[in-house]
Amino acid sequence: MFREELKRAFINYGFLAAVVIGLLALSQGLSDYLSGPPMTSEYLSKLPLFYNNSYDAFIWSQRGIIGLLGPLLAVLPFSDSYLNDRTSGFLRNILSRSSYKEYLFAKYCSTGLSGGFAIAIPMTIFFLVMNIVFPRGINTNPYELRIISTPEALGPFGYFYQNNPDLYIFLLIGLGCIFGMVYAILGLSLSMFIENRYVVLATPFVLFMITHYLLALFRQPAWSPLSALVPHWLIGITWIHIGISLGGIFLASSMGFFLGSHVKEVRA
Amino acid sequence: MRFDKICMIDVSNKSREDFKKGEKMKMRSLVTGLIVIVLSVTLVGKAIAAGSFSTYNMTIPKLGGSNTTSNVTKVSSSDKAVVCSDQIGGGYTLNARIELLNGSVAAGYQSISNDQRREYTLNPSTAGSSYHARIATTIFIPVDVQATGWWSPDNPGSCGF
Repeated sequence: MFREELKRAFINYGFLAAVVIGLLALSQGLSDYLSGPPMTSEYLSKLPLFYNNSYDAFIWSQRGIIGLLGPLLAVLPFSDSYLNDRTSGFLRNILSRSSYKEYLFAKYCSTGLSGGFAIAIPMTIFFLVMNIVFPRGINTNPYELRIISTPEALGPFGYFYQNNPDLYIFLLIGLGCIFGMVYAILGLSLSMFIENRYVVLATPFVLFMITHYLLALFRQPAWSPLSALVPHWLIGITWIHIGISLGGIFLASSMGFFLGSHVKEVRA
Repeated sequence: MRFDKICMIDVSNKSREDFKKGEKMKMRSLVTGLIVIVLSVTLVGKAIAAGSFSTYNMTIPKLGGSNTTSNVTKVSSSDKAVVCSDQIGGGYTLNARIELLNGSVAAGYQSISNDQRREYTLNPSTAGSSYHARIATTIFIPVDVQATGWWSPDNPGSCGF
């Protein structure tokens, strides 16, 4: 059952669309990084060593539209699948072969994984491409560098940037994966209560945007849900900001999912 | 007589000493004056050669919007420009780059925050050309942001923080 659901979660147009949109969104973020003067060999020789590098390029690409589209990418692959299974009558066929609990567990895990990978895969591909395009190294010039490289400016694991930048980038991708899982499960839990698949897909994104805007308006931007996907968008983001944001949504949506599924089971 | 002679000698000796003292004083003030002139010419010349900072205090529009500082003519042959970011409202991180008068980019974006010095290698770097700094918010910032600081298309020295 789980294997079947996992296959359905990863092999579909929604997942493919999420990967393609993710790559395009990361490319948009890179456009500002590339907006400098022509990189002639004479000009490059005047710049500090590793002024342009694969790590900074990836960090810049994360500061683009991908940060805002994250919740949408996470729900695209499989978050509306429970609703589809129910409305299409497919759920009855499945329940004839396995238990409802087994189905729910498989749905919950496969949706979470597909959402996580829908964000992590484009990020990983993009980082690999950056490694081909730009030199791999860290610019140690304290005044002429593309990003603010102090640990507090790069999020809760920012201290890895100077000593092990690859680990830092993989932690960013890992955090993106967890973000995707949480928002995919949020979408799944909403599908327990909402009958329109477009509303299911759009609601996590809309909630994310409203919360982000309101927290900025109330001068508390660090608590924005964005901090969990782009922990370097603001100076001073800590594990507490990320943990509370992701933990709160994860708990609420998991409870919503199991409560909703119980209600649906009783009704059935 | 002797006494008078002695007195006369004393008086003439005294006036000679006064004269010598006066001469010494004149020489001293002349030398001091010369030193002051040489030093001030050197320092002012250096300051002119290295340019000076121009302050900015502006509101940057939200959601990836940008604003430019006033135009400043580059005076030195150094290919470095400097942005000294003093205060940014809300503690946000902004991006700053250097552009020529026609808007073409002379040095790409670098992230800036409070109390931060950023240096830019200009391409092209031409003395006599006018440049401005463009400061932009990221797409994540949903409010207008106030930014203050000073900048120069030359490299006038320390930012002072």
